Amino acid sequence: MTTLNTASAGMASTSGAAGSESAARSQGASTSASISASTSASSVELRNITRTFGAVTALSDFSLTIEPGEMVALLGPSGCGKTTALRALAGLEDINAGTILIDERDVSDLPAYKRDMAMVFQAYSLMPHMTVRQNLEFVLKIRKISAVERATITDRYLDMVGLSGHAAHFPHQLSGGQRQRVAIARALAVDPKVLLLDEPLSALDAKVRVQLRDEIRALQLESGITALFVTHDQEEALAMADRVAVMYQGKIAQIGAPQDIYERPESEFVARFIGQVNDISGTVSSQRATTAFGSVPVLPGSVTGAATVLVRPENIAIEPAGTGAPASNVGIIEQFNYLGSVASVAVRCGDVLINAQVPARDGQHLVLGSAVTVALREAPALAV
Amino acid sequence: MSTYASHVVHGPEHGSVRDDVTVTPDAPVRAGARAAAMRRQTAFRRVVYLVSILLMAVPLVSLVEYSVRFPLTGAVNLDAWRKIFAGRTNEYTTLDNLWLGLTNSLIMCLITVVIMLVLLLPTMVWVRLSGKKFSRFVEFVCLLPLTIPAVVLVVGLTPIYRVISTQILNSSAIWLSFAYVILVLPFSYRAMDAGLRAIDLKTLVEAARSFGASWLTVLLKVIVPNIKGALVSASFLSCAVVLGEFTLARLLAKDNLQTALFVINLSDSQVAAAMSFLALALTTILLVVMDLIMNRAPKAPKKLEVSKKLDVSKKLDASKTYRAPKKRVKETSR
Amino acid sequence: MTTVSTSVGRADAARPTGRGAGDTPPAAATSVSSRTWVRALSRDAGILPFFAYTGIFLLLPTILVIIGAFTARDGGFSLDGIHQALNARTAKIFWTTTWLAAVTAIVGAVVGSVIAYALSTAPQGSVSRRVITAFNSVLAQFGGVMLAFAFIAMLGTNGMITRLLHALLNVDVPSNLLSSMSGIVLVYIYFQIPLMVIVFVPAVDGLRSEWRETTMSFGGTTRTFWLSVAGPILAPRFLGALLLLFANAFSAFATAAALISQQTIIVPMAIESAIRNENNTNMTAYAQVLALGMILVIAVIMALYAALQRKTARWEQ
Repeated sequence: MTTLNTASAGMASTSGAAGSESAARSQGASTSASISASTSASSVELRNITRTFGAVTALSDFSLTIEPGEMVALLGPSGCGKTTALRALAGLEDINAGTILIDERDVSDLPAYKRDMAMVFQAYSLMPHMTVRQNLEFVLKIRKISAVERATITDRYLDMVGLSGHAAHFPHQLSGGQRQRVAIARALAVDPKVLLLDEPLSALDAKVRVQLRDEIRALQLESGITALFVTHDQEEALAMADRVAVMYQGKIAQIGAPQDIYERPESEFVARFIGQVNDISGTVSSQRATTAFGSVPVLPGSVTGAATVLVRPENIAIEPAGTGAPASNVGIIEQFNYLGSVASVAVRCGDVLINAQVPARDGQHLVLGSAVTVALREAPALAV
Repeated sequence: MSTYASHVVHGPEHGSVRDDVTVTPDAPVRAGARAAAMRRQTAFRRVVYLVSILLMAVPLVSLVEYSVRFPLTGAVNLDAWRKIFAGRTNEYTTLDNLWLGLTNSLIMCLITVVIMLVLLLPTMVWVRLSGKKFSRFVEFVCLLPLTIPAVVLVVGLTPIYRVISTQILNSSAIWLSFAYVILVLPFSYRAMDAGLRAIDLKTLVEAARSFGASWLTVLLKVIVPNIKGALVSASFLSCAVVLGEFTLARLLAKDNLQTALFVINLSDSQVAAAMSFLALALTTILLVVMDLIMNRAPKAPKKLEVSKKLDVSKKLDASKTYRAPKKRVKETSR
Repeated sequence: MTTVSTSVGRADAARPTGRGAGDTPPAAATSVSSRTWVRALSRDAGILPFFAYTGIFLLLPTILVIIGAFTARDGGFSLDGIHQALNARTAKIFWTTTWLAAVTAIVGAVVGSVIAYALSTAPQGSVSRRVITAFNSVLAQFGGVMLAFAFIAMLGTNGMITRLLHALLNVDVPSNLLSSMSGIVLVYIYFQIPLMVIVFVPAVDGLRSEWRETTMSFGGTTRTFWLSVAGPILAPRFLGALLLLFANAFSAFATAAALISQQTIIVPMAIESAIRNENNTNMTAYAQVLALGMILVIAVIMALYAALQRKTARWEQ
């Protein structure tokens, strides 16, 4: 639960900033009824949501609670229902059963335009016929904020995303990354209860993606807003979220802090979906799995007896084999890929191919075709 | 190795996965505001469809009714249809003009499509391959006939056709095809432009040329098969234009389907009605077929069979260290 | 396919055509530049067939019309033709045509846009949508004479609807309806609406669902969406389509010719009567002046259309 503490600690330290911001706003505000005077973020609860499209079940008894100020990622393969869940929360999709609560108020029957949220789409978020400034002022006008206020808020948020110089530009004059920044500024400018992001980075180039990832996270922490975002990119989910919910076929397979998801998967699906694993046969008894390459503790949720142990590549230790009779844990390096910061090494032991990942400098003395010993590091693994 | 798709999701008791799909008893069932909006939209669409289909069908039905029901007396018979399906016989010589017009129009369809393809396709391919220089010019010229009314064109074509009829060729109606090619340029250009845009023309041509293919081979065996849909679309649209063309034929005093219909209406209006119905129905079917051909879902690509599994199980000799082969720098002739 | 090969092939392939028959001068500066010039010409030779064909059958007629309007019978420049045409009758004909085009364009645009909107709500692959689109295509562009006949069969003296209205509602359709202005307006609307549908459906399709959802998620209602988003985005396209409809009706000939005989109430028909008037060869110039007038009107319309297109093209993301 460490990450949640960090989140609440983060919120505590930023709520001061958020508070002063809100206070400053309400000082100059006239009819800004939609901007809450309180500084607390909203809680979100999706309870037992079911959504079917004819014979297809998109969401099946789906439940999720988002703490105030938390950023949760919905991660999963296509068709798992993550976008449906996001849109159901936004009110853009109906639900067949279940309840949606915001700040403990039932909003399930409220239409989208009454839910006081803001959404950022993968693309085409911005109105093409309005300039950047007009895009922001448009949504502020819907919230019935006075013209003077609108200008001030627009300036402030454009400044926050570093696009003040582009206020008079049209969306088609901006790059993809800039457009998304404007979309996020616009979403934050209305001070919504929840920020919703539907694969916001999927349409961008890799480098821009990484940069924007950090910016979005920083903005979310600074404003202390509750956020839910959907992605199919694991790295993105792990890097940005306070908690990650891995979804599969309309249900949450596992939800937890990124570290928990990665290091302590509770099911084979999650273990395989996140990162990479090696399948190593072994025997499980009394909380440990014994394999040809060593023995490791097993995670809760593992089976007992004969099993396949799922070991991550960075938990495989490789050493050049000394001379001597080949042991059961010796193999030949079949592939060696230098990737810059790490090296990906594939070792053939008998009829098993083990994928290991070593820091590049350690990999310098490993040669293609040479014999190496394979050992498992002392890290818990899931046995299935 | 089992894939996660086929694997049952295990969950410890404290996990949030439930295997049952049933709705928990206390989860309220929702009405669905979006679904209601969708239903309203579908209802609106259906009403509009109905009204449009009615409006479109009534004239057609009237044509058929007119063709079997003699207007003045109200007597119903299939005389008009019998006359049409009897074809070109000595019995109904009054329809000779109609058959002449129809034949001319059909021949002109063929000639126009051929000229259009031979003129436009190589030109458009050449323009795309040789950079952007002439693309704006070709596009402008091809869309110009949309803006120059046929009546205006025919005023300028009159002296030209006088020369063609008397000095170069004869006065047969089929030479109208030359002018028809101009009329079909906008439709054909758009269709073929869309088709050429969808393929990577430069790469295809360069690849074929690098294997030594002649330009004719490139055009016929590489380009044409890849834009078949666009070519069919351009041809069908051109046929539709030629079949429905009236202004040029009338003002240049040539016989085609539409002028013949006009004339036959004066003597036997029921035949004219029947023929009009057939022409309209045929043209619609032509376009529907064209649309179906153009928008057929692409066939799923055949799975590549790997006949021999790459053998990676062979052990590499541990005593040898393998080094990457030295790259041989090729001497190039240029 | 020689024209294609010259351009994409190696530059030296063009050289043979550069050397004309006869002696080759030494490589002085002038011959180098002329060789370059000829080489450039050969490289661009691919455009020649197209250029020649459209030159003869499109450009030449247009030039003949424009020049002919300013040519006297003896061949010299003259404004006689124009003087002849500038009378009340010509003005009336132009006015009638303009009015007809404007009315049918507006009605066609309004009704057509509603149908276009309805069509766009259907998925693109749906059969009914495709059939309706195909039929609209036929009515809009290839109808003409056949459409006129259909209307005669429908609303003529013994037409189906005429009889129906008389029998059911005791309403009498005037027997000269179709040869009067109102009849022509009716038939014109009948092909203007389908044209609007064809031209406008792509515009409505271009409204991204994200824009509507964004508006809703920020608190805007459907009304907000149409007033502030869809309206402004569709407006230029709507106006552009309206202009196209105007040009279409202004140029239409076949329908009126099929309905009206021995009257020349619109410009195209006046052109026809001028061309066919073999007695008075002066009329050729008159036809050309009328044609020139049409070119001017259409040119203005298309210039406005092009300007509107440029404006909306900017918004394509």
